[in-house]
Order: sequence, then structure tokens, then C-alpha cells
Amino acid sequence: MKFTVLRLRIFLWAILALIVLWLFYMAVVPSGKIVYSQNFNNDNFFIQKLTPAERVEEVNSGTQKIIGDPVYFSLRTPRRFNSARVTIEYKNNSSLPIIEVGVLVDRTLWRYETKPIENKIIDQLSMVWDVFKNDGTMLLQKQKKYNDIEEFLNDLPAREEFALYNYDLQKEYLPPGYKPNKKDTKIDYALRGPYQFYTYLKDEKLNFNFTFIDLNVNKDSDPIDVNLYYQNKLIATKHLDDDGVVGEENKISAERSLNFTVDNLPEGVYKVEVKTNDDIISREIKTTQSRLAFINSVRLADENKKNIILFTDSNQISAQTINPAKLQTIYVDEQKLELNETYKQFDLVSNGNTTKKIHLAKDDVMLSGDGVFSFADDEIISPDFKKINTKTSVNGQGINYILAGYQNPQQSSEWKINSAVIDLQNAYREFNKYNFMISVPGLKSADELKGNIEISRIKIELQGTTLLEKIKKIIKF
Amino acid sequence: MLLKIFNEFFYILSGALLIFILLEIIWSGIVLAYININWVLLFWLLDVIFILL
Repeated sequence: MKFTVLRLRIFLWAILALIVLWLFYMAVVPSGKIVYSQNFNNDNFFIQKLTPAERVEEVNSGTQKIIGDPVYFSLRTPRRFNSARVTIEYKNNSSLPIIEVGVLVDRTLWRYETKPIENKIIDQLSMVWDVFKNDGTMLLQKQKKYNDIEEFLNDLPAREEFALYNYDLQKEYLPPGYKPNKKDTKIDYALRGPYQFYTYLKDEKLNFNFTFIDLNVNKDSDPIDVNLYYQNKLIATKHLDDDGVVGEENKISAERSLNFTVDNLPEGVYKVEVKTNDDIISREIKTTQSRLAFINSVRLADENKKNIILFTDSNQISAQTINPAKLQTIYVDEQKLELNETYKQFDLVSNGNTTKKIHLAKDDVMLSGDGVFSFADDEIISPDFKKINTKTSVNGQGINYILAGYQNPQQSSEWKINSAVIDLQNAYREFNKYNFMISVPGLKSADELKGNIEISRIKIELQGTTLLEKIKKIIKF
Repeated sequence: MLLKIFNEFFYILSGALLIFILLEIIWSGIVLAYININWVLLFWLLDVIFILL
């Protein structure tokens, strides 16, 4: 009798020990590889629900429809990984051409690094244009001129003739007839929150003087980092601490200055990033540089300025305000962009390779586009190549070549499947979660005509350091 | 005999609960990802009730 009970005891504790060991094995992932899958049949601990709820429909027989852009989901992992291959099985029930998936890399700027899942523009062109594929990269040519991608890269056509998609092409940009500035340039339109701009140097030092104020609307501290990038590498940075006002909401700080000067820089295009949050207003920017072009967006703060003129090379321009007193009609050259509702983004497409003039009656407007913005016509500098986006008109913009880091989705019955490999080494991770995004630019939940994206499965294959590599690394230290 | 078996289950389930809670505190998500703790709690409670009766 006692022997039987003892055997039962040993058996039960052995099972518990095995369960604990198995839990550790699943958490440590000694091989460095693990796969998580969400098929929408029931709740998943690892790949969590798509949010926000107003941009998705209820799960219905193992599928879920996305009706607004973007949607987010968290991936809960027991440890860090280096990369994720995200595979999505979907149906695109909309006329919108682009679906992308991405991971949060910067929480302050709420910036996601995205990779393509579907691009109908490229899919359709690849049926009629000449296509060369090599190792996840595609070269599309309207008329075949190049035999491979290397030949194309060594003898690029005119900038107006080609566009990129998910491809980082580093090419030195020299604006024609550039001469350093004889006098200071001053931007005295107040800008709110973070922004980035291009500038250009030739036989001169980089010199910017920023004047900031802190609105103290939110209770968090509001530090400011000014970063300088050359050829996508961070080469200088300067930090300004929070103004020290804690617990006093809406107490506007005194003006504070930050001088950002760097000597002995080679000729070329530089990117300056002002990394902060929406409490910070840049009241004035003084510089000796003659080129200053804001990248993709510029948010004018509420300082009651009127009749503001900007210039842009964007073909797709969007505007939004959260202030009812700032509703207005914006003019882009001769075209009208009616801003008649708050918290809503209004879009305008204006094709052509020329610089457009934007006229705003009032400030406190967020302008965004697929190009750059500047406050003077001769300050524009646009080193970026054309990019394929939702509103791209290949014929309208005279594009004859497309270089894309993209592979066409596979069709299985009525569902399409495609994968994207995402680098997780710089991804933001908090509470053991990575934050992913599925983006369908142009999909609005209020607009039923735009359709939906139906998803039946999300599979994430993670790859990271193996236990053996980790042990070796620890021993080396 | 049945009571002895339930007695053993009481020990193992109490031990499992304690270990799982400690593991979850040390390494968040390690247990809850794979084990529905509600079932462990339910069996533990039924076991306690049986023993008390």
C-alpha cells in the first residue's frame, strides 16, 4: 500500500518537473527559432488582437476584416529575437494598392519600420513590363534597356524617369549651381513636435540655432534631441533637458535656445532630426545654410500667423487640423484643398515634377506629403528618389523604371499569401511585447466604398541568438 | 485508499500552483502562455473540498 502511494508521489512530481523543464525550454528557445501563428479561431497568447476595434470588424468564421488604416497587434515573446518573417494570408477586397506590415522602432516619434506585403501597382506592371528578379529585388522596365540590376545601378537613368519601392539607394546628390549662403536664413513660423529636414553643405560649417518653448500640456518630461545624419549614419547629437516644470499643467516655459554647430564636414546632403514630443514648439530656426527642406511633414503651431506660404515637390499632399478655428481653404498652386472638419485628414493629388506653392490662410495645420516642404522656393532640396505610393501615377509622372525590394504575393485559391522579413534588433520592446502594424494607406473606416482587407492567418517565424551562442558570448566577457 | 490518492494530488497541485506563480513572477508569460491556471486552481479546489468533506 505504502509502496503504491510512494510510486504515485514520485510519478506526479516527475511529471511536474518535466512540465517546468518544458516551460523553460519554450521560454529560452535554445535553438533561437520559434513560430507563432494566429488563425482567428480563438484568442492567441502570443499574437494578440488587432486594434483599435473601430478599424476592424468582429472575427467571423476564422477571418477578420480590416476596415481602417492602420491596425496594430502585439507580439508577446519570452525573450528578444533578431528578426521576424511575417506571413499574412489575406484577401484584398479594396481598390487600394498597398499593404504593408511593420514593427515599432521609435516610441517617441511613434515610428514604424514597414515592409511590403502587397503592391498592386508593381503586380500589374510586372505583367506588362520587362521584369528582372534577383534575391528579393525586382527591376521593372517599360522598355528593356538594362540586362540586370547591377547594370542599372551603374548607369542610372535620369531621376525623373525612375522610382523606388522599399529599396534604399544611396547616391550622392549635388544640387546644380549651389553656393553657400552669404546671410542668415530665419524661419520664424513656429513648428510643433518632432520633425526632420535636409540641408546641404559645401565648404561651410553646419550651424543651426533653435529657439524652443515647452507647452507642458502632458505631465511627462519633454527632453529634446537634435541629431545629425550623413549617408544615413548618426554623426553628431545634442541634447536639451526638460524645462524642469513638473506637475504644473499648461504652464508655458520661457524660451530656451539650442545651438547646433559642427565643423569640418564634407560636401553633401545632411539630415537633421529634432526628436521630441508634441509639447515642444520650435519658435524659431536660424541658420547659415541656404537649403532647408522638411521631410514628408511639417506641423505649424498655433501662433496666430496668417497667409503662410510654403513650397513642396510632393505629388500627394495631405492636411489636417485639430483646431476648429483653423478650418480653411488651402491652395496648392490653383487647386483647392478644403479643410472643413477637425481631426480628419484631407488629401489632394497634384502630379508633375515641378515645385508647388502652398498658401495657407491660418496656421495650426499639419501638412504632409510624399516629398519635402520648405518656406522659400530656393531652399528646397530633394535628394530622395521618387517613391511608389498609393497615389503614384506611373504614366502621369513619366516613370519608365522601378526598382523594388519586393516579391509578388502567391495566390492560393481565393487567398493571397506573402511574407516580409522585419529586423527586430532595433525594434522597441516593452512588457515582453513587440508592437506590430498592418498598414493599408488610404483605407478609412468611415468610407465604405474603400472596401476591406480580410485576413485569415498571421504567422510569425522568429529568429534569434541560440543558447549556445549566448553562453559563448557570456564566457568571452 | 481514494483519500490517500486525493491527499497526494493536494500536495502536487499545491506545489504546482506555488511553482507556477513563482515562475510567472520571475519570468512573465512563461507559464500563462501554455497553461490555463484556472484549470489547476479548479482541480486544487475540488481536491480541497473532497478532503474537507
